Amino acid sequence: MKDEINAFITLIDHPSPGIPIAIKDNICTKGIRTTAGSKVLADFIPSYSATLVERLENAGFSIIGKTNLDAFAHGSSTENSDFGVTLNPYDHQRLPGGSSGGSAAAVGAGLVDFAIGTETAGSIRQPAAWCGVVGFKPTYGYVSRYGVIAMASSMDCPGVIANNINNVIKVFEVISGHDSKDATSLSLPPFRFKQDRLIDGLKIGIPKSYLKITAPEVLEKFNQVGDIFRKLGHEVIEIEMLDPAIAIAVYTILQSSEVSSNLARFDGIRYGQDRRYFNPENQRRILLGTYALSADSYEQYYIKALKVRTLIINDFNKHFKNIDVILAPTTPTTALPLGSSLDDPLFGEYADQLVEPSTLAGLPGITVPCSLIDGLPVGFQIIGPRLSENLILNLALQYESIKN
Amino acid sequence: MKIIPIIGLEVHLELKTKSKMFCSCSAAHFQAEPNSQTCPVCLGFPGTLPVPNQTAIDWCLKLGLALNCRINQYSYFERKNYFYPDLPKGYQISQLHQPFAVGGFLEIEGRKIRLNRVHLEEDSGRCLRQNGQIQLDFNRAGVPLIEIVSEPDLTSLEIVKKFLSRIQQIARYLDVADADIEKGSMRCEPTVNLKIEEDDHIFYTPLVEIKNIAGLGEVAAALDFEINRQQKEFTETRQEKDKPPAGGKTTRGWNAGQKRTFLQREKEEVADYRYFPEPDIPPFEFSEEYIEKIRQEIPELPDQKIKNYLNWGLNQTEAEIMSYDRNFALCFEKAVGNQTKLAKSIANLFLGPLKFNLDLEKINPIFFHDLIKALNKNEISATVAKQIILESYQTGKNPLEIAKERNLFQNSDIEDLKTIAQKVLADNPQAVADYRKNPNSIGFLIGQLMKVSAGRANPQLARQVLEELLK
Amino acid sequence: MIIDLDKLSHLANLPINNPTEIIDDLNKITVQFNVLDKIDTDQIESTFQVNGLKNITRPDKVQSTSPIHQGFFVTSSLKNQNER
Repeated sequence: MKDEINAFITLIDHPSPGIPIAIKDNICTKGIRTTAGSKVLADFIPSYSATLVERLENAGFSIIGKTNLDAFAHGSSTENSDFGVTLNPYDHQRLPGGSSGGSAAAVGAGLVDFAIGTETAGSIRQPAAWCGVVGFKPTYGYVSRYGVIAMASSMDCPGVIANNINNVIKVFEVISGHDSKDATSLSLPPFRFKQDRLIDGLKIGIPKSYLKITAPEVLEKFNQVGDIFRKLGHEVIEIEMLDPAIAIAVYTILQSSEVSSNLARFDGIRYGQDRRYFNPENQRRILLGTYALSADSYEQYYIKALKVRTLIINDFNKHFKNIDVILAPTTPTTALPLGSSLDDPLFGEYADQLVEPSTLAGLPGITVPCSLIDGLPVGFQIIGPRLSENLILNLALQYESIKN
Repeated sequence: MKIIPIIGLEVHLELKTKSKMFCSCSAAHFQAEPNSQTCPVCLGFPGTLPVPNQTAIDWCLKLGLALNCRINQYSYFERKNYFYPDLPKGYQISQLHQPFAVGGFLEIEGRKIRLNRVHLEEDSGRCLRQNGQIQLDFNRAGVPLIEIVSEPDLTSLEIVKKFLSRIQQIARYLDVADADIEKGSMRCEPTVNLKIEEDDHIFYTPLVEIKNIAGLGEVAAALDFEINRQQKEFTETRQEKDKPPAGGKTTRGWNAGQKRTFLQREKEEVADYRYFPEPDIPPFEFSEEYIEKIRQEIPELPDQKIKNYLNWGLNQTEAEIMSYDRNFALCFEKAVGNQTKLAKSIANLFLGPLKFNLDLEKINPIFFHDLIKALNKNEISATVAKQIILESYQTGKNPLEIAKERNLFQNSDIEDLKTIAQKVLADNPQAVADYRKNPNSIGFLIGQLMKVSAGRANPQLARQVLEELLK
Repeated sequence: MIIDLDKLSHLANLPINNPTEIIDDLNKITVQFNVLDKIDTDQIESTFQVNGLKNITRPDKVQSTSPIHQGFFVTSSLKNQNER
């Protein structure tokens, strides 16, 4: 396979027989180099596989390679990878998004039908939208994090990227379910999809505040999605949610705090290279997190963020009493040009603001491609309450079948 | 000038669980091949996750309750973040804001020593310095550790030693820890400063925490040195505060070889551990029922046993010895059974020949009761009693049977004793002469009589008979 | 807020080559946090676990894995590290 877009950090020469699948390179694969996109782990070969990888292999999937990502998943562009940027399959002058840019681009370019990504704040949904594919993030805890190199432990979610909903379901059924090696994994068996024609019609809410920050051309395409759902018999209304800027602040504080701690183990003594090999974005996040947790700032930043997180969760819960799911654009814009992330320390925050709130609350979400603008993909997202995967997938399937 | 030491103790106990705190590696790390008991989790490899050991948590609750603590019904682990080569994750999973147990106390010599907390955490690996390198062994990394923190209520070395002994004793009673200070499964870090009363003024010296102490004896030596050092420093520099110092303590290391403490960390640099709740481990909620269930598992503790034994007629020292080791105490109690009037005599049997590692199964109370009754009736001498109780324990035979078989019953036959006494007097004319000069020297003659009678003579009667004959 | 970069660098065990740039970036980022100051969280509890899971433990059983590493790990001396 020719990887013209640099979607892969490692390609397996002779993959075992089975259904080809690509794994984001922050997920440990026994005997296969796992770099997390960073020079720190450039030569790290784990002696163990992540639980989700073991389940995939047991179910007949075959790993064909490890996909590119922003180093340690720090980013929304894949430009922060220490192994070069991945190119957007729709326009090689543009970014694929991130941090699961390699996985999204590999599927978008037709190099593979299935890929695993991880999301801490949009890292599956955002690149999937920019690469014109389906990106699915389950409820936090539904897929085991054992073997997934930790970024923000209370938010990290492995998920699925594929070309259509049925393929997403196929993989999710394999990797989901309780794992005794992960104390935060839900006490549920693996997900089993049940078809539901949703004949009673759902109540779908669109957060006004999300629309305000979406580019006009994306908004125009998004409105068409709303119309389609209305035609399908669902009620689509606008709702008033908390300002996404609040979620951005909370997310940044909590994520960087957890990152600063999770990356402390990389000292080069037991494995990998030492801390001089962290790239500038990694360093920024570690320092920011260290700062947010330090004695002078702890109350004002970290504790405050934990409390506001409760408010964000309450906000979702309040709305989900009246509506079944939330509908929104996945990203404010289509794929941005190469180089856009380089000078902007807030790049990720801007790109992810429509997905950060749901990640903080641990909610499941899916992005589905809906149209193209100047040849660049646009996606919309459905966010549901915790454990509403079946509902979200059925609704997405409905849209997909109409579109087809 | 009146000097009052103010001492607080931080004690760490390694729990004797089978597996480590957050992974399934064996926790029995003492002298194992370096890094032979490790796995990706306790080595802090990327992507690995901690899963807490249920037994370790139950034992922490148990120890907390035994130390009179209150159990927090809502509790969680936190990350204590700092860098050190023997700390694989770059943080230690520990507790701070909501530990499993808080408050508590121990009564030592009538003083109530309050506890601040009893919490659970994981141990680090070990650093060994060799040839200018640091060699790291992570076998110990992740072993469950209980941390007990006292309030600064200890005021003397004696109390410190007793406090530590009691903690060790209770931990062993509950069978949750070996608490072996030599093997490092119990460690202690004291913090000390002095309250100095001079004329009408009160002064306080700065707080010092002493690290690197490896032994109960060293605790006393280190504190002794440090108390003297602080006193000298105060007198020389008059560096003092007139209120109790808040926070900020200096760390000094104990050098056992040189028998002194030396400065490790400057006072002003307070470590910033950036504690935050451990996101990889969900919090804990304990119901009243659950806590009560744990409480029910606590056996009768030493202080209650001592009270019981005192009631049975033992003195304080005897009571403390008999209750020191739980198994030994249980053997003693089984031997006493409901015959508490015989308790003191039975204690004497234990204090002599019966060693500490007794098998409770082999203790037969009837044997003890029979033996004491025979002793009280003078059918057996005390010496013989101590001999045969050991044999009885080992063989499982009734001691009176053994006495019968080996003809060990005490000879209280006056006529027979008279005969033996006459022989003894005849054989020892010098001793007789000595007796005439000093009646207190009769002991020698009694001893000779005992010897000739192969220990079977009743010693009181022997004395009586001899004294009669010597008149 | 004044950022003490030396202290941060020490706490994070991270050598900093471009202090002015980093301070600039950190200030840019932390400005966003001000939006939280206006939010009233007086009676609000913290959420550090969104799952609602409680009391997750494993039994005290030993399961040995094959050794990843034989013998000691080695590192250089502990200069600039506080003795524990």
